Amino acid sequence: MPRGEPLRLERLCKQYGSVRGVNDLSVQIEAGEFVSFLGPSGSGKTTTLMMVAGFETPTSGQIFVGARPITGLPVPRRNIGVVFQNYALFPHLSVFENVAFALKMRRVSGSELRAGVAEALDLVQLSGYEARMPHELSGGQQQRVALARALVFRPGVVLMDEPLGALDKQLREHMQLELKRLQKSLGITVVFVTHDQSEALTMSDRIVVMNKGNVEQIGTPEEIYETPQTRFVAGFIGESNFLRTHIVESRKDGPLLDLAGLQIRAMWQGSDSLQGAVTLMIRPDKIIPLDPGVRTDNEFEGVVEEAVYQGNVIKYRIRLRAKIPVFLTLAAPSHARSQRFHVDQQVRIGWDARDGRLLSDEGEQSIPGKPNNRVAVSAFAGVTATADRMAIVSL
Amino acid sequence: MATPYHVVRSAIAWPVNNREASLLLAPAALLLGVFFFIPLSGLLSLSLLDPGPTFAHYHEFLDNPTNWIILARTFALATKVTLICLLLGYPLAYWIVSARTWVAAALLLAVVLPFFTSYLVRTYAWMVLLGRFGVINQLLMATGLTERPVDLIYNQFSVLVAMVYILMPYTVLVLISVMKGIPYSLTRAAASLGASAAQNFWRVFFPLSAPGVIAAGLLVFVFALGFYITPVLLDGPNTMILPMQIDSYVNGTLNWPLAATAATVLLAITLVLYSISNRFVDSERLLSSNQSTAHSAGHTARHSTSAYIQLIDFVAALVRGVGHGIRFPAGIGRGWERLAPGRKLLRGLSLLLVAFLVSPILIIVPISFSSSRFLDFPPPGLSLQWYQAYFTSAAWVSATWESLGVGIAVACLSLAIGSAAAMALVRGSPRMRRIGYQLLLAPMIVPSIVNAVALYFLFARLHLINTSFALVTAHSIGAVPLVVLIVAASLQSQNIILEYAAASLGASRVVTIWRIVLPLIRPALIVSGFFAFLSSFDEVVLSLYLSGPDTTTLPIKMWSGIREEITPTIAAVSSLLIAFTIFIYVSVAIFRQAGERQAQQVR
Amino acid sequence: MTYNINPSRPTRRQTLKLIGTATSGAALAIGAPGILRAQESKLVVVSGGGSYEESIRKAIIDPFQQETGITVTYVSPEDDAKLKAQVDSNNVQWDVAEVDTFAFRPDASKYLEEIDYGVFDKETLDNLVPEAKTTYGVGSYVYSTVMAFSTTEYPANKPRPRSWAEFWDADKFPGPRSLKTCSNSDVTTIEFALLAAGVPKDKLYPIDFDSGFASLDRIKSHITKFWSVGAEPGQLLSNREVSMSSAYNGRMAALKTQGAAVDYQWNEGELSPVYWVVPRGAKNRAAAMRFVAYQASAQAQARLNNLIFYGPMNRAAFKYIDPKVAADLPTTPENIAKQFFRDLSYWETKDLSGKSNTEILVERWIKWTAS
Repeated sequence: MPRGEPLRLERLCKQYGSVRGVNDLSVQIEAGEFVSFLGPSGSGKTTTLMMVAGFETPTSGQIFVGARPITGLPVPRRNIGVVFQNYALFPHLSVFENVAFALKMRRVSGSELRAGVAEALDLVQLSGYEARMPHELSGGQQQRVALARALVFRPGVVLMDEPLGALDKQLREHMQLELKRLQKSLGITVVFVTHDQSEALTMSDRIVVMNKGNVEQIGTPEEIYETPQTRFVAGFIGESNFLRTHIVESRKDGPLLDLAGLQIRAMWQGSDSLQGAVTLMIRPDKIIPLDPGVRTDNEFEGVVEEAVYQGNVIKYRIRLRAKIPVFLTLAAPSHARSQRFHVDQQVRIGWDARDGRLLSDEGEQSIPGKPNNRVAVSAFAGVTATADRMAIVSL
Repeated sequence: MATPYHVVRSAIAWPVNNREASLLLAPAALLLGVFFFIPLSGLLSLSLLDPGPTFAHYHEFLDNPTNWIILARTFALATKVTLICLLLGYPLAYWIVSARTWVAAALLLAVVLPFFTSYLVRTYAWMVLLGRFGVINQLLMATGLTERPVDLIYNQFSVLVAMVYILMPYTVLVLISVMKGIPYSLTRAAASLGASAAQNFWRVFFPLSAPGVIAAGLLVFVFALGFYITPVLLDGPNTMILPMQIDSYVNGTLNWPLAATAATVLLAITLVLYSISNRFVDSERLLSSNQSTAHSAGHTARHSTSAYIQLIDFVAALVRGVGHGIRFPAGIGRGWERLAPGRKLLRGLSLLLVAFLVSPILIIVPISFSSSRFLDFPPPGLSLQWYQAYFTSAAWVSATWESLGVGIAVACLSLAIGSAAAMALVRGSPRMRRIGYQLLLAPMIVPSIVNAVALYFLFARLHLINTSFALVTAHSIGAVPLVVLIVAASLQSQNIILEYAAASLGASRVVTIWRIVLPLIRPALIVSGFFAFLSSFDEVVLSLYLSGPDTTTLPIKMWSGIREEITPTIAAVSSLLIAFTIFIYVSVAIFRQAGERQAQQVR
Repeated sequence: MTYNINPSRPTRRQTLKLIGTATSGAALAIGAPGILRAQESKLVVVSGGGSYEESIRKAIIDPFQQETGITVTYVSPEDDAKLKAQVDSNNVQWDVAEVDTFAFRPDASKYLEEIDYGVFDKETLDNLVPEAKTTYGVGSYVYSTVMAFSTTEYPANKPRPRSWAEFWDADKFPGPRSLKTCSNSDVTTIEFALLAAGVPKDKLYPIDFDSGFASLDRIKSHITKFWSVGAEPGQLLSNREVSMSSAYNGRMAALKTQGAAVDYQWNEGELSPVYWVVPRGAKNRAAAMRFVAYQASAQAQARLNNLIFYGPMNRAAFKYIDPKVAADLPTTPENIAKQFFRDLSYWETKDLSGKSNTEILVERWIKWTAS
């Protein structure tokens, strides 16, 4: 039986002096939905969370849990669970006391208290650890206690602020699934803040991508990855080739693009009516090597300049004509499939027109006179470098 | 992983922030307002408004050439004490910071032991040591180094020795706290860039420690300016200084307006010095915590070291130039830079300083077991008679109870008021923090004789002389800043997110403070309570003015005892005090370590 | 002489007085019994500490408490500034205090209660020396500031200083010295300087400050420390910090009997009477008056001076004092002859600018020590 409550943020603004922390943010989160706020440091995601939790007062705007406005409500009366980064377990209290804290604040006592705590610890599979002190627990166990503590008083909405950030990769991935399962089974509404795109993609029903205080896009993980609406979203989530092109011909099914003399076919997205300079974004995994005789919408000759082995994939930088580099990733060769390029190898590559995505050049600086050889690329170390921002990407 | 909280923490304003902070600050503001700032303004008005608005008292005070001589002497004495403390204390502090753990711990103990020993005991120890037939002279004559006793006491030498002795621990502790804030990586970096040890010291370490030198210097200088007890006990026939002059106006000629005038002059000088040094060092930060001290060190370094670097470069160039011209034997030309902390010499000096710090305390103990009624050393025989004399004397015992009672009351009061204020300062707005620190720490820089005279005038009017209330409030004024400093430092190092967590779980502010904040800073509370207790237990000057027949404290009894009793009873009391202090110190240390271990284990 | 103070049989006058207080007290008692009891049974007596405290407790305080049922709180030291402050601030905690010159202040009436000689019995009144019966103070005892020296430095078989002129003679008697400071209101020392300069005992007053300080200049370099508290010279001498010093005769005599290597001599000693005064507005004024009358009785004075080597101001007291002890008291006829009386009223006299001679001396003294 779902016990989650819907959460609605209405035109939320937070201003620090002249600095905009959060700018006009509106989002409706349904009961039982898992929504991630994703963005780099300083994007306003944590500030938003803090406003919902009540540690920050919005400069303007409203917050509703269900039909209940909570904007001016003191933190202790909001009845929203919060899981903090680094867990924020009370170091001087035992596991039991940590979990019991919220119930005690609600004047629950005796057997009811013990039953509540037992149930919460059971949820996170930590029964039997009641008497331990936080420092006697592993990171993952501390994480579970923090979760139990935030759930024990059955809040309709639970906020999580990078809750898995301190765990190592293996444990993190395990906890992601467990957390998701728990959320689904309890039917609670979760607002999850992270800067880890894979975490957001894995867990969320919907993702709110934020940048510089603004919402860039709200959508399901698939929408966010497959059809990013802004250059920022495309760059922040996954790796991308950004090819700066311009439209030479608008056809019915899609425009014909020119990139330093290369003709590229693309598709319209929605009711786009782009003209002139546009950026074509294409994921490295959508570019494929073309065996002789295989045809596709866009076909190019190129030379392999560099190959980086990354375990499950190999990433190649391939120079097209006019020194235009593109990246493509191939699954690392196996005995069943041994396709592999070598440096300086002449290759033929291509992609389906439907896999390219046109982005308006809004906000992107272009170099006058040289529109076509300025290419923002995914750099090798896994750092997606766009003109003015860097974000850590882990594939 | 970079946490966004360092941004959040300074940016987040707790919704009820300012009201809560004001509420927490109120008791401290009330205490200091009524019993510190009002008396001081009373002092000012007494000097300016008695009987009507007039500068007559200032004319009378400043037109008297005697007072100028006294002022000059007071300054000269404070300057000497400050310079000696810095010159001797710096190498020791440097050694403590750079030594291996157990060496540092042993050295630190030598500094801390006198620091926690009663002020009067320390002065008395020097009377015993330096006397014409005191321990040192007896040893000198026994070894045949001198036939007639050397004049060691009742002159400026003895005052200097005792004042340096009393102020040295402050110097070293402040220097250590600043030096510890200098990242080791900086000197390593300098070494990797090719700096020799000496160059490293003079070009990197010393400039970064300069704010500590200034702060320690200021602290010592201000303390020295207001010294009263030690000069009275150890000074010779013609070495009057300003605090003695103030006392002579209050108690000798009973000229209160003139006493107020002299006290105001002393206060004004202190404040001017404080504000000047404040331009160089952010003393508030320097005093507030180690962490921010390092920050302040870097900050000051940015502002003030370019001239210093130029000077070093200039001297280096000069020496090199001269070296080329005259052709010194190899090595001398560049040797000056290596000459810096001539390590063995400085360590030897530091060891002497350590002996200087510890020996007076160790001398007192055997004398207390002496069978002689005089201060013979070594004692001719052993006896417990002086301990018996202490325990069977109603006056001594009741003075001890009074001191314990007042001390405990002061510890409780200043702990409550001070930690509330610390919370307000740490969690309040930056502006409130800045002003709050200045006001709360003000009692630390006002010479105690000024404070004492001001409170005396107020309490006399309120009929509160000779009440335990007067002693508790007066002592609390000195104890609250200590509590604020220690608790604020501890609060700053606490994770504020824990408070957020408690709030999100439904805890009100009061419950959060009670169940989360206070338990977490318990080690700091214990330590600051200990400091507050000790500062009251050891207080002489304020008590000298405010106590009375029913409220004679142990230090007051000792003060009159030192002047009136020839017997080693004082040595017995002193030994008991030393033992008592060590006992408290050790138990607090154990408590604190247990608390810190618990805190540290939480990741 | 036949008189006998038996506190269990008060005089008629005292009885009446007691009844008076009792009845008015009874009326008060209905309203505030606690306060009344506190007022009736407590007395705060203020005087010096150390061995004097031991003696006065034994000789006067304890018998007084037993005989009157009044509980005495004994406080030391007495401090004129505190006394003044208490009255000025109308917060008088002391009921009776032993002072040096306070009773001779020109403004004594502002600070002190007039002594109620009505509560004294006739015998006592008759036997008190005239100097003891002043408006604001009752004589307690006479102490003398004498020349004391270390017997280690000056053993009996060698010459010892006999006069202040010799005290000033550092060639003949080498060694560090101490004298009392004049930086507080209890001034002395300047008289010794004048005697050392050859001024005869009876020509000391009015003080010639210039020649006094000129004389002090000659000895200054031999002074280790100016003492300010009565016990200091004893400590300085027995610790051998100094070889000779001015000192209170009682302290020296006590030290001597305890076996300390100190001695003193009477010649050119300065006699100073001490007075019990009652601060104006004292909470227990009646009990305070009883106390000052009690201590003035020949027996009380004898008991005290038997212990402390100070001189009684009740002439009848010598009848109860062991003649051997009497030899060590400053007020026996032959000792008095060698000494001179300090002129307390001279020191309290004010000049045209409103400064008392004491204040003039203090000011000059501070200037002299500062330079």
